[in-house]
Amino acid sequence: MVEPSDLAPQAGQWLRSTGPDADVVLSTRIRLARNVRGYAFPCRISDDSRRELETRLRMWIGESDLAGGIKYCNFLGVDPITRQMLAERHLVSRELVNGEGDRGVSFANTEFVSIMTNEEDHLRLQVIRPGQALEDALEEAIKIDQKLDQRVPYAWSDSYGYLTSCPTNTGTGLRLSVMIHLPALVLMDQMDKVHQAASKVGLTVRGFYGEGTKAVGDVIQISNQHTLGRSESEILKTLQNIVPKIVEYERGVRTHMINENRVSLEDRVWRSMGTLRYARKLSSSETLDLLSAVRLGVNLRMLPNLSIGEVNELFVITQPAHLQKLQGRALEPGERDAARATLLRERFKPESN
Amino acid sequence: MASKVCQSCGEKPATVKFVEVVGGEKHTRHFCAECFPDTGSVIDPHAIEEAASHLLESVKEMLGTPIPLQEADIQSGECPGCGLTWDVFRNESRLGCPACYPYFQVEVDGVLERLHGATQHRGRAPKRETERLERRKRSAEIRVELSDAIQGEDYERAARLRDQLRSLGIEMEPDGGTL
Repeated sequence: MVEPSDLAPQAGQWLRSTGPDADVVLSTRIRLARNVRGYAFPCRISDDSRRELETRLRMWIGESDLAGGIKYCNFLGVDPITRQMLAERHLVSRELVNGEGDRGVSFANTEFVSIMTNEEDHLRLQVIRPGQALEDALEEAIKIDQKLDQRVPYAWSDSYGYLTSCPTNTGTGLRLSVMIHLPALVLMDQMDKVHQAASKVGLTVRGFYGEGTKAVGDVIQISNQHTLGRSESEILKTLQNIVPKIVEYERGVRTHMINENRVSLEDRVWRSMGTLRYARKLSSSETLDLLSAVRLGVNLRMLPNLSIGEVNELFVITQPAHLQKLQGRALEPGERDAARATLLRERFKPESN
Repeated sequence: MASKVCQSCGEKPATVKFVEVVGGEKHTRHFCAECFPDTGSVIDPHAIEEAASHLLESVKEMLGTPIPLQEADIQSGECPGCGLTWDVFRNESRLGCPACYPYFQVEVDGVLERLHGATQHRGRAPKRETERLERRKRSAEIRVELSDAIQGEDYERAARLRDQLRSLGIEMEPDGGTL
């Protein structure tokens, strides 16, 4: 059992690590939805069965010999700010945060793997990797799934595949998603093309924090829409076809901007840097926009003393729950903006860059 | 083939071939559509029912499992597994349990077709299910061999195959779609 204090705001190795195509791709996430035969799905399960299932799931996960050991954390024992913090780090879903009753999350391999229990489905297995790592992450997710299915009797149908509570996940239960930073395409008003290209091949484009959120910080998430009637490798190929094209497109526009209008671009990056260094109040959405420009500056070698990993980490730790966790107390929204500005001022001190 | 003339009116071309088996002897007659209902047919409805049920029995026997009768129209009841009704699903977009899938099959197929453009899974399966499907496939193959052996009166081989079939265990295990 993990203590909430173990989940320190600076933990989460993947936050600061960078992977392939790190100049454009923030992270790759794989999710598998699974349910257990013999139990109603979490939306219709009785409290007693839910508790019993939670205990069994915990046991099965614990016995499954997952990489780097496993830490289980029952959500009933976790305070609201920590719950929120885990969602900001994309380790648990909003659904788990806002849910009710016995539910939890297990971490393996230091936060690269998380397994939610009694979320929308009985099990939600997630693998997260920095950068573009679709193939590796999928391979790891499947390995974990194979370990679990030696113990867990999955709800299954020969015709529908893995049975899930929401029919949008039926079949493979697989969601592949890539978080991409596209400041140049946003600036040059090219995002419509990205949306069109994605939807043409059955992919969904969403904001930084999932469904319904807009693309703050010029970050979008691209993921597969269809889970039934396609094999895992076919779904993988769809993303592998389009992600490199978007990455190249973004890089091409960045180069074009540098060649055509270097001063305007530098002006934009340094104005953002100036605001981060000196502002006394910063909202989280303004912060994401400023950090987006700084991230672009780092990629274009305008800010040699900053690393991509540091900026990536700031994208997450300036979010409300991380900020409150760092301060060690709950903060009103107004106080948060001041605390956020203080944190950023500290990080971007002129002498340290 | 030259078209036949109705054996009742002797005028119109015959479109109905009427085969009757009486006392083990087969009689074939040809009628036009108009005359056919008037031929004072000797069809015994009970005989048809009986023949149909024989056919069904033999199909069941072949498949080794009762044939689930499919409700072709909208399912208005509650799922036997969790009590969900389709109206509740329409509001909440969540199915209640694995048994909802077979119970609301027609509706679920409609939703899946709309969401994914497909209703049939392609992709990975849990190990235990793959093994079950392999056993099922093997048992179907053995059955074909078995009936060959019986027809060829090779009883020694038939006995061997029967034992193989038994060693595969339960012939039809349910999949995970039952609660």
